[in-house]
Amino acid sequence: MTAPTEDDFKHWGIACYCFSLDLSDGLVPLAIPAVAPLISKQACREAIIRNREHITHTGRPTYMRDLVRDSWQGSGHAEFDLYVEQVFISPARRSNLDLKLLRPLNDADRLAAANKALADELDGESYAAALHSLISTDISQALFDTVMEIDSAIDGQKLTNWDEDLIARNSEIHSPESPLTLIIHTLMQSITYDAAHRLHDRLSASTQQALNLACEAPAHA
Amino acid sequence: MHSIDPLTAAARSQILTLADEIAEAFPAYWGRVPRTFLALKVREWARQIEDSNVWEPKHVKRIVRAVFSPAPELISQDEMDYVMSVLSHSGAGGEARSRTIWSALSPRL
Repeated sequence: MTAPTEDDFKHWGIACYCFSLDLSDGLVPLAIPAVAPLISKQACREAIIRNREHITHTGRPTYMRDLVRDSWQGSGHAEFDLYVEQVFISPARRSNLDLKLLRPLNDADRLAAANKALADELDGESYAAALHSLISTDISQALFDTVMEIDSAIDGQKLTNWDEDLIARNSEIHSPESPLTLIIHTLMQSITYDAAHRLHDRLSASTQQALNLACEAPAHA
Repeated sequence: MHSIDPLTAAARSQILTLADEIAEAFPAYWGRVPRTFLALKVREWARQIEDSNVWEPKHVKRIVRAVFSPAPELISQDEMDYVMSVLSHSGAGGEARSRTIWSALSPRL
């Protein structure tokens, strides 16, 4: 096993910050369905407390991942570990197809190329519209409702003691107004990836090939 | 269009209204996205822009609309000039946000 890097230390710290918050309760079932929010929250809180004690005694932080592993009570640890690895530490390791299929959404030239590639099969509908139409309405609604509850709690200053204290302690690192941005953004990305794959899978092999080429075209060609 | 109150920018009805306006303005791009998903994206931008109240509510709304335009030809020159003017006068507190918005808008310029 390779030694943890500085990034590993940092990202496990961020993960513990996010998942220790009461605010994250509603997001955990959407982000990591196999994990019970109370279990992940308790393990992250215990890790934070033990890390503070370690710093007091040694002057140095310790590796939060190991503390979370030690503190975890119940099932779901492997899923949590994998989620943190994929989302917090190495999001760029998404599959090439994932990354490629979303490029036209952020680039007008690639979008035009994708539209052209799909013109016959989508009967003139834009790639963006076709992809967006496959985004799950139910999951979007669930995420939207959860996020609105989180924002209301923050804006209305209705935070639990733990959340208020931790958010204040970390206000120079994480926005106090949007402490869970990373999880929410990642969930939105995952929803979009899923829709892109569904669209891709529906296309004929030749159109898939044409779309892949359009997505791979140099930006602003 | 209504202004977004900076203290309640994430408020449900305001965000949904802005999402509806964007879908209506750019139907070929945003017209078929689930309303709440577009609202989540709008909320993400609005919150990123206004979380330190760097800009006035009316600025937030117009910046968000410009960011969600799928192509440069769909933003009027007046609108783009307005947004650029706001960004260039955002002061020290708005520098990071200005950079973020610039990077989102630059492919559209």
